Amino acid sequence: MSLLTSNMLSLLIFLPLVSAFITYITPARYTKQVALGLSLIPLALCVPLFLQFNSALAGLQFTESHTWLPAFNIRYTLGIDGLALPLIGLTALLTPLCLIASWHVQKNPQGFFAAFLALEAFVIGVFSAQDFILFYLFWEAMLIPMFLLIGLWGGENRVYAALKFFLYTFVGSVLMLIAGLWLYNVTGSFSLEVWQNTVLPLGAQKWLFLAFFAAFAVKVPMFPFHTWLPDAHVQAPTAGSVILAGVLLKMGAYGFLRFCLPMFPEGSAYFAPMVFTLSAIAVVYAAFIAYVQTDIKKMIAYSSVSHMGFVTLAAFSGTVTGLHGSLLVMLNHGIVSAGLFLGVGVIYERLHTRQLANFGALAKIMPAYAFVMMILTLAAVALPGTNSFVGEFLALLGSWPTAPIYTAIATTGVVFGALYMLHLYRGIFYGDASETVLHHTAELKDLTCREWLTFLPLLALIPLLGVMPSLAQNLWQQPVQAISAEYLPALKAQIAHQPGIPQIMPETEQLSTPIVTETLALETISGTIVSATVPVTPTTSAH
Amino acid sequence: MQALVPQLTTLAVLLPAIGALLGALTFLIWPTLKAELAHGHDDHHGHDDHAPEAPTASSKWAHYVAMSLTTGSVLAATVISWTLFIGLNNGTAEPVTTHWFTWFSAGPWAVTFGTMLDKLSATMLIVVTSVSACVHVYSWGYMAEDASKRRFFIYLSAFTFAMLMLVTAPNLVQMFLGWEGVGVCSYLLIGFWFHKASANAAAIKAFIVNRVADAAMLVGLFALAATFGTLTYSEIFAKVDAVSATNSYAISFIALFLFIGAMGKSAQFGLHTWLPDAMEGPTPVSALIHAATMVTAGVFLLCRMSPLYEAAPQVLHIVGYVGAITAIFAATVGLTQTDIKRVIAYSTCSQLGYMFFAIGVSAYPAAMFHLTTHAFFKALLFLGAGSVIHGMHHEQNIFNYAKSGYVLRKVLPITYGLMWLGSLALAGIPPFAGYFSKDLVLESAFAAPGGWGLPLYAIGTLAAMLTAIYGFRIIFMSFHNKPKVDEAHAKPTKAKSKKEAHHDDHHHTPHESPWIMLVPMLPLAFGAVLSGWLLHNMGTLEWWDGSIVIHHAHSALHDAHHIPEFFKKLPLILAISGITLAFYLFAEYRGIPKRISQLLPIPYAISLNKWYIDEIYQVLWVNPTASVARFFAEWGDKKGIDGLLNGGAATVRDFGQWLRGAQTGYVYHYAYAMLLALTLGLGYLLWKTM
Repeated sequence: MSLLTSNMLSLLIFLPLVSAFITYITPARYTKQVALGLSLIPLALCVPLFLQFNSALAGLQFTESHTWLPAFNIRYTLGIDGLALPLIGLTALLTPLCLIASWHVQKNPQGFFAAFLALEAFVIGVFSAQDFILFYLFWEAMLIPMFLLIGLWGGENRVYAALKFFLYTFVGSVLMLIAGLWLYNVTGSFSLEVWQNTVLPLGAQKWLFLAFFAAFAVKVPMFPFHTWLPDAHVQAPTAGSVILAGVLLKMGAYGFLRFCLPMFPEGSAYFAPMVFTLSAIAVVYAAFIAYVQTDIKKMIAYSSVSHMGFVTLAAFSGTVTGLHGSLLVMLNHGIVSAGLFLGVGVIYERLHTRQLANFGALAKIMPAYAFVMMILTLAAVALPGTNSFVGEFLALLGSWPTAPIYTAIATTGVVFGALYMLHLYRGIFYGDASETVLHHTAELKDLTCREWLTFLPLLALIPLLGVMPSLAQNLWQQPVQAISAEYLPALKAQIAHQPGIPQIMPETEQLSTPIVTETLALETISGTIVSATVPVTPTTSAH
Repeated sequence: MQALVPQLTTLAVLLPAIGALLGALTFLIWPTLKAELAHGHDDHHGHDDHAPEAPTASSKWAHYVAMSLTTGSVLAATVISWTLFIGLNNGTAEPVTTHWFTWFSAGPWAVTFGTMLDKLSATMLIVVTSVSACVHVYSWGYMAEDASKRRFFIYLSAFTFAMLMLVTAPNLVQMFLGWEGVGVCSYLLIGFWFHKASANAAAIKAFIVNRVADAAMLVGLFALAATFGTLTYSEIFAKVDAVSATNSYAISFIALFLFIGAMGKSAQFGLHTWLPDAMEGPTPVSALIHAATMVTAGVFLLCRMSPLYEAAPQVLHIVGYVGAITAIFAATVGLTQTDIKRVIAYSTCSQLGYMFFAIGVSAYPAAMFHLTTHAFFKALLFLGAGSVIHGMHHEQNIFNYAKSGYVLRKVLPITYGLMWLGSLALAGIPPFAGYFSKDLVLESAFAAPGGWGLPLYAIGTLAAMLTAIYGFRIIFMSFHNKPKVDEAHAKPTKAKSKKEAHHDDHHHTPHESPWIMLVPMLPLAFGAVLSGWLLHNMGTLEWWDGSIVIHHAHSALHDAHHIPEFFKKLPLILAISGITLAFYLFAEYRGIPKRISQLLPIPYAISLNKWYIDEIYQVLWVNPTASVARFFAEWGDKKGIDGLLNGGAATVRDFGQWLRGAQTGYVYHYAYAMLLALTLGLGYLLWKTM
């Protein structure tokens, strides 16, 4: 058992990689069963991973460190903290769901399933690598299976989309590599821990920030680097979209939290107004565009851009509240958008179209499907009680003290978000049936057991995390505190330097000072504590 | 009693949720049935296409199990609510705050689920559960022929739960949960007949207009959180004095943005456009959600936040004027609408305006009092209208009742009587409920310090007369017809549409509604008649035991009893003249209204077209939104960003080709190039060193 725990992360990375190889050489008849079976092992491994993770500890856990290329001081270092753990869990959960959703892949199933398992390995690698070269390796390696999934198993315009996806992300990554090499020259190490403990001059921080920003902003994707995403989503097979929206986009935001904010706090603070602006634009702009899309996958793709705007806005707000919100939105968007893309897959499998105009009245023909999609739609519009609400609420609440105007702009996103999601839902499920639906009524069977299986874990998580977000929040208490402590003072100094940054009610912060004295107010989940109080003592009275 | 109060409160809130969940579980045992997949029951043309298949035994069970569970749980919640209310009233129970568990905590914020029971929430509890229980029972009859009625009951109970969460929340975040929850249930219920395009459009409109208001409300909440450092009511109220001493601007900002949120939910002028369209939903929904409970959430919120609003007097002025404008605006529109439900919807809008202008003059108790009485008589009116619609086979146009050739007051005698009670209460005739509460609102406005409420009083009194006219227009137009209809008198102003003609062909016999629909109207009728007299203590500040706070300088409510006698009686005089006028115009001389509309075409057109607000919004908001969205998609993404990128790619390609052109292969070209570079480089170095 100790061997297992001390190499847990390596296992989580290399088991899927080996599984990918096994899947590739399995006869086509058994590929999907074998792949699914193998993909359940990392998911099972996540159980001890979560159980043994101690959220009270600061710093990394499950660390492994071995010499790799001593000539350049490159080490094989793995380790996770509360930022990475939930994303690893999400990856391990979504991969089997994606495989189940891809049950009907006809074209070269060995290749498809192998690519998927390899993708899982590399993504987990990205989240657990603690050495820059290792991180970069996984970061780039991840592009290959995804490129293949879009380019080989995608839609009619797949090559264009795959190339666009590859070039965009690759160009960003190259700048990150150069910045990494520069940091190696300065520090003599590729260890992220060493980098984090190095204090850099502001000028260097600015350039380093921009280089890393290029890689992460493309991945998130932030406005105006987002145009690869709709194309990639539309062309990708269902499972590709699920994993892309569910996990891959989170890698960008994860990068901001792992590299930019803690390593270059002054540099990040310097560019924070730019990030705020781009984020607020992304929230509103992408929501507008989503509203006029005719392709339902494109709509959901643009909704991703819009939601990731909340993530970056809140992350760069730097408050503990904002960072909690940012991480929650990341996790919840991973759950909800994955569910929505699975939902699109359900109808695409039956009607082979994604045009909104080709649906209609499906609530009557497929009531169970309508129910599932209604839950997902409500979660996507951040209805309180669903998981998305707490995330968005905390993200905006936490951003308000440092960026009130941008927060107010982003808040209008809740209106446009509801507009396109309800428009989408009405188009698919309500109203009159389109010609396409009328001609294919026989094929329009309601959800099969296999499809229910893909939805059920996500449907369970939506209310669970909606009512008890602390299940996830407890994991990242420590890193959130640490990041905020590094970055927020820099941001406050920055805001103080630039009177040009608009602030409503500057005096309010002095009054309550929630961000200065941000102490951890954690209440344990308790039973029904009852306290009898007269709610208000009338200080003034009419009589 | 006191020991059980927290548990009882929790139970009252959770029971409807349990009912809804258990009802939803019936879908696991009996999945969606064939009958449910077919076209449902329909307000406009339902009678000719619903339930094509005979219900099987299992389908009956599925529905009745779900309906019993939901109705039973709401009835139980009603009993508990009344127990608590009476307990608070006679002193056997004390206000209590319960904590269930921490919802979320981050940074300085810790938000808990729980309940807060005081006079304010207890009043809302009885209003919500009582009307909800009546509507649940009524729907057994009204929705009897609907193929997916269990879904309807599940939504109703879910709505009731969300509304109870809203009113019993101890903090603003849980309140917001209820706030959004009722919005979604409203969306689902307006669009219940989802094959109707108009119902879908109305549902989305309701949700989006409310979301616009909610976005403003969220901004208010963020500002409030940043200013007060808490989102819990009791902690906010404790800090109001300290904050207003240093930062009254922040208080006004917060109060204003929360009010915008309240305007959306309570359909105040500017954000009211969704409410009339919401009448696309089944009539019991209109009674519960769009008359008695959800739309009053905004009024409740402002009363709950009274300590804050008392510190923001400028915002109170805005609240007062918005309320008054809404009251008169909706009343003028209500005069000319032909759809019985829409008339009542505009009436609701108008009455909510009264509540807000009561708040504007700091007469929160008067607002809550009117909210309570209004819930009873308006729900009664809607259920009565539903009974008429049911009896007339889904005909909603009051002019078509006149044409039907039946004397409705003889065909529907019980409904007719109940509608009279509701209308008298609405018009404010003593001793009916509306008289007590509406007069208190108007008198408070008159007594507002410095006389700033006088315009509100004038507007409100005029609107009271209009209320009597449109209220009794329904009664006289719908029920007082001659047996053999005289074409010259009853000709509708508009030509018969195809659909209406289609209806005439059916020749269904109108009938009185079944007992299952009439009996639940009786408690509401009781409330409409007696609640004003029984609950008149609600109009005093003392009754609220500190759950409402009024600044001592805002003495409107206190002085309301000391205004000149004439101005106390004036609304009543006008209301009685309104009823008399309505009798002559709409029962005796039906040709006159038509003449008036011809004489005053412009005011008539403005009223009939609802002041053209929808058209203005189409131009102002809806079309620009779509245009901007298309512009972003086309010029922002496709031609802008991607265009630049593709252009960039082309530039790289062209540059490469140009460079290739430079590779001539002639040695002297290279030599010249080297020479040039060397010269430039050396020159630069020289220039630097000098």
